[in-house]
Amino acid sequence: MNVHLDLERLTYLAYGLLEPDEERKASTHVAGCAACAETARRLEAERGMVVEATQSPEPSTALIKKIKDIVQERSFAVRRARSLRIWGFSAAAGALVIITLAFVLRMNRIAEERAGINAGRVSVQRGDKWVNETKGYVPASGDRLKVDDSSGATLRLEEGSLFQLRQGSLVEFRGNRGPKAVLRLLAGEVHCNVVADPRPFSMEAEGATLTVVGTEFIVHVMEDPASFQPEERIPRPPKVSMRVISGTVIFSTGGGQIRVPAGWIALAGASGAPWLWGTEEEFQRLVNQAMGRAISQILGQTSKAVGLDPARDAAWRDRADDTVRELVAAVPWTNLAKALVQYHREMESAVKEQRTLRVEGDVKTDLEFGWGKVQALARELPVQGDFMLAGRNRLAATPFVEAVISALADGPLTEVQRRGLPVAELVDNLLPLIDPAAPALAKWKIRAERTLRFVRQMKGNLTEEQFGRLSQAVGPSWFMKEPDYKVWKVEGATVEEAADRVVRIWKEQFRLPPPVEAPLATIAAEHVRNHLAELKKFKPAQPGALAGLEELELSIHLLDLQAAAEKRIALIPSLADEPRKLVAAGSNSLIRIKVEEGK
Amino acid sequence: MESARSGIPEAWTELVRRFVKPVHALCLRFVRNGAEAEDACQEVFVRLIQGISQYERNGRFAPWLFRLAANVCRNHLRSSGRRREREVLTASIPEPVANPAVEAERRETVVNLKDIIDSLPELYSIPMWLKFQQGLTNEEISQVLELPSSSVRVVLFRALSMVRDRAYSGRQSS
Repeated sequence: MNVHLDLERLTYLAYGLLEPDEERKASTHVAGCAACAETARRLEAERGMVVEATQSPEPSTALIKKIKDIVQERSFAVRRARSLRIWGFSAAAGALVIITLAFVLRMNRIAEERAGINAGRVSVQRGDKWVNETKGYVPASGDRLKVDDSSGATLRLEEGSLFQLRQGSLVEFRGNRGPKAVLRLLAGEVHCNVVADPRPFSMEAEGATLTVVGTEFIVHVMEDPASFQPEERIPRPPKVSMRVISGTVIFSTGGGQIRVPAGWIALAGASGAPWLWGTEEEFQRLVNQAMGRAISQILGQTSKAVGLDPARDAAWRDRADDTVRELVAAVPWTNLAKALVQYHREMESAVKEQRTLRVEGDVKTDLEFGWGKVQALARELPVQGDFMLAGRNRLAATPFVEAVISALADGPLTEVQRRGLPVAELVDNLLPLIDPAAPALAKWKIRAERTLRFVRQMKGNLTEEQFGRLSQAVGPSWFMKEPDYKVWKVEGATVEEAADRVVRIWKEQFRLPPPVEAPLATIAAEHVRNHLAELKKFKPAQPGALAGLEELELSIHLLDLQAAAEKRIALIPSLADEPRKLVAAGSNSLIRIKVEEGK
Repeated sequence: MESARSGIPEAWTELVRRFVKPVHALCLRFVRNGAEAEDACQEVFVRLIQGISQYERNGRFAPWLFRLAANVCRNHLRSSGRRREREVLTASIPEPVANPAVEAERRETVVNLKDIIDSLPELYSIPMWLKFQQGLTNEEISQVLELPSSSVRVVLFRALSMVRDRAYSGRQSS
């Protein structure tokens, strides 16, 4: 059965309103259906006319022109607005960036102006744990801050004071500036830059309190050494060191307080009053010397002793207040000087006779009593190092020098003699400043040379008789401490035998290995011969041993010879590093050699 | 189109040249008044300048523009608040080129059809114009006139049926 398409479908077909698949089916039908094909043909003719009939009239030329003009004008406006918008956006964006930047900077400024961690990272103690905090952290009163980073951290107070906490430091924040301490340094080092402010500033470190108004200083809390080795310049183990960079810091402990000016280093121990160690400049010089010694040791060269600058004790040398005056007056200078002469005479005898030192009776009493009084004076000044250096004080120098000369000359000086004494120069030679780190023999040589200079200074000031007694009373041990005055007595039938014994001393002293025996024997033999030659030069005019000034001069030459021999040992190529360092540091005893006549 | 978006005057001149006629025709079919159609046509292009940034590049421009024009015309009619005064759309009818007698009859038929189409409500006349003069798809017509897509074909069939009916009844009466 053939079903014709209705008019609607054929209309859709003729007017192109069917979907593609519908159009395909309808077209197929129309192609095979004459009636439908006829209707479709008529509809297509109709379509042509309908399309034609839907045409619209043309717009007027005036309208077209008017619209073109409007569009031209508006498009310019649009373009201008668009440009303005772009510029506006750019300007707004720029302004926004600037505002944001300003805001961020301001916030940073505000953050910086607040008290708190200004730079770096700290660990804050929270119970048993340590919590990391960075810039912006505001510590609360009682917070403990630890710094582990090598770059350290900076703590800022509200008023602008800055505290650079070094690596390894541990501080307790106490609160903002006021009557109470701001910080307590428990370990490590803090560089404090305190700005001027009406409120007081103070900090604590190991029992010491540092009070300032506006200054810059560095505080360091020292760890306890494994075994404290007292040296000349440091009388007791220090716990806190402070270096003032500008301004003045009042450094106080339970034992007293001192004002530390800019450029000075002060120390405080676990107890007692703080004391001035010396200047920053001096510290740097010592550091440089230490470095120089280390380099010299590496190179296998014997370092030389270096006398210290007399200006180093300027801080206490000029003290002439009542306290110092009383303490100087309390020293029994005459008795002490006499006892000292006896003490050194006994020391020379003991060495020559190779026996122990015997100091007894009045000598011992006078020494102990006198030394005690000098030590009290040294503590008050305060003197860093050997307490006898207190004799350099301007009030102590004159009684000290007069008493020593009188004791050595074995008689009182006249008024004229006393007035003619160049006290300042004499005291510098009697009590020279010697680098405590210098090799033992080098220090000994300096002291001997200064003693020799002292004796020569006295030649014109004393009578011949007095000078004779004085020159016989001094010797190589003069003002040497008993532990430092070490002499090896080597006796041999021949040069070789003596040299062999010298080799044994050096091997034991410097822990030299067997392979160096050959060059060591050569050096020892030469040293023995040089030593004997030197002895011949100092052959006593009268029978008997050398004494006094001659012995002193001889010892200076022998010290030089021994230092030269040790230097040669240090230069032995096959020597290992460790013994080379020992040799370079020098021995601590003078070898005195004796070979039988004619051998 | 991108040039026009950027405000380049030459691009706008070309846009006007290509679309002023269909936009004017559409406006005329909506408002059925020559003067008001011109006003509406101007407004369409002003609105086009202001709103061309809203045109999405993935669609055809003509349907989008016709929809804009339709909205302008509707607003125009709404704001004027009057009933449309019918005006005869005096489109020029092509001159006969072949058999004069046949062409004369055909021309007469076309004029007659034109009158009928112009007299149809815009719901019918405008889809016919969009379909047969602008070649829009049913989907595009539905977008312009905001009709359901499935209705366009039915609307067009009804329009053609009305045209046929009126043409047949006209012949009968003549």
